[in-house]
Amino acid sequence: MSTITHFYALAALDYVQGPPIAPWKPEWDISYYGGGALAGVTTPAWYAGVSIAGAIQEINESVNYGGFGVHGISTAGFGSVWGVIMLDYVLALHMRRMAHEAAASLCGGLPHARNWVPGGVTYAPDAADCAKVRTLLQLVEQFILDRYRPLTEILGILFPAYDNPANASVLGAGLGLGDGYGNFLSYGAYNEITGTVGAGEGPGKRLLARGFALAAAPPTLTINEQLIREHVERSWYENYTDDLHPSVGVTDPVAPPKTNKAGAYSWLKAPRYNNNAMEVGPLARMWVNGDYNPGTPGEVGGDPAGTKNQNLYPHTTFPASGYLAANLPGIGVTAAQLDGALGGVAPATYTIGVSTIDRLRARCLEAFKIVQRILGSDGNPDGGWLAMIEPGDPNYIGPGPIVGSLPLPSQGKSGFGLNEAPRGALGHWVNVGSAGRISNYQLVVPTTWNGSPADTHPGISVRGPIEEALAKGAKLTLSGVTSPVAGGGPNTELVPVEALRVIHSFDPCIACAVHVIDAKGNKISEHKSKMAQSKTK
Amino acid sequence: MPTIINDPVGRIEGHMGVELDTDISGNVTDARVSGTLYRGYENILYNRPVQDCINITQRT
Repeated sequence: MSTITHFYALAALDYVQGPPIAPWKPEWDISYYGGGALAGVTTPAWYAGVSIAGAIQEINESVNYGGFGVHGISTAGFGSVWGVIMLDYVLALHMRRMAHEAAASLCGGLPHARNWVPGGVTYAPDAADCAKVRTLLQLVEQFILDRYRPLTEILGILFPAYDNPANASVLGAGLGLGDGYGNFLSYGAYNEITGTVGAGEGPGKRLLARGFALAAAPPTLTINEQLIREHVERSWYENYTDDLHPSVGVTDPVAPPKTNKAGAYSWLKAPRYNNNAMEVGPLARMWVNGDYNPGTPGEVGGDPAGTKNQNLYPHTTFPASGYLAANLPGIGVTAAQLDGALGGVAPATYTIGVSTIDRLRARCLEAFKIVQRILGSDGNPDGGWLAMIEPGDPNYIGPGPIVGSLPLPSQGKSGFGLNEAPRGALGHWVNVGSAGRISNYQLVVPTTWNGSPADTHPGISVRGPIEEALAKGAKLTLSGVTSPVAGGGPNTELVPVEALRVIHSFDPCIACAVHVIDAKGNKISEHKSKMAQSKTK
Repeated sequence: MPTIINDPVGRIEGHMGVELDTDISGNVTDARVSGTLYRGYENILYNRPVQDCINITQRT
């Protein structure tokens, strides 16, 4: 669900301008897309004369559990591949809801599962739940294969600068924009019972292996949790002792009058693994697991031989008229090449590397890998995870009355959990005090790793992963920046869409409140970033 | 050289800002990514029963 949401609702509009109606409005001016395939174009006419609202209504009415009837919607008036992509945006909203509903059928709701307790679940799925999940996920699987995956490939062709240097499209060379360190961390996820799949380590392997890689090298399939440290040099926390392991970590926000801690600019701490800033997320997981590793030209993931339904994308002949077709010669792309990217003529091939587009491709492929493992479409002899659920099995429900049946940990006990959330490696550390109460709890969440601020202690990665992806090599060029703002102040009006492409590829996720309030609702302190302060001057 | 500020960054979950230093050609030479919100889970959970964690910390 998160994957589909991210690509269509969050990332896609960095690359394509939608029509000037909701949900794509408000939109940026077409000139913001300078540097891509639409450079120099001012008025997209691909939707002229077409009732977009009508097409959207048709989609909304046609999507049901029996399938999505988009095939019956006429796309002739859209005149180009971009029109079809915009319809896919609406279809993706339905698909993400279906993925969400499938998960909620098993755990009562998301983002917070309702039926988890220590020791088991309070509700286990019955046969009807499993059948519904299967129906929903089959639609999601078809969507990923037919629609989502080809689009990740076409983006690489149309925005080659954001692809790794081994890929050059007719539109330009791959510059590896947004590559960053190439350091990857994965705690591993999805413990397998049979241990017959996944690269994991030891018995009971995982579908996605635990391990790390540095500088885009092949991965090492172990993690030493003791090497995780959090730095607060540039974070708004007290500098009791920098460089703490989370089990002894301290989260003490700086309070007035110390709000202007010199050099600090973020609420995120700076986690480092053995002094390295690590990228986490789908690219990291697929890299560590060997599914998305260099040296494997062409398509990878669930379809290396191209035997699956690569050519089901529902368009036939690329229309000769229409905005994009008319401009294709000017940008050096032929209809056949775009058709090839969409699987209509020849399968697209690409070489794996580290870049913004690689991150988008890996995210898609991971979603495909997981949904296939759930449904058993990858051909695993165990029939897939969903088939392995035995409705009515009493062992899913924990022993006796759940709450209170497990002995509370005694004072001085500690524990930690390392898992993978949609956006990357997630770790929690807990220390227990008296009477089973928490004496210390620390979280190092995916975006803490990715959005980490800098740290200048010797021997440590200075920039965080996203910072490095933006600034490495000074090769990310922001269009429209060469004219300094009159008066020399910071430019707070320019929307750096090039930087946003890089940032969004990491799928940042930071939640909750800025203000810290006491029990009476009185505001204790308010923290504004330096940036927000400068904007309001 | 111009410093570009984008705060808040749109189309993400949560609150984040980014500050970009650029050279004369508009290339990004340095970047500072800021998480502009404080959550306080560590403080919320302090002294709570340990079995509360599973309900409170989901989706952190």
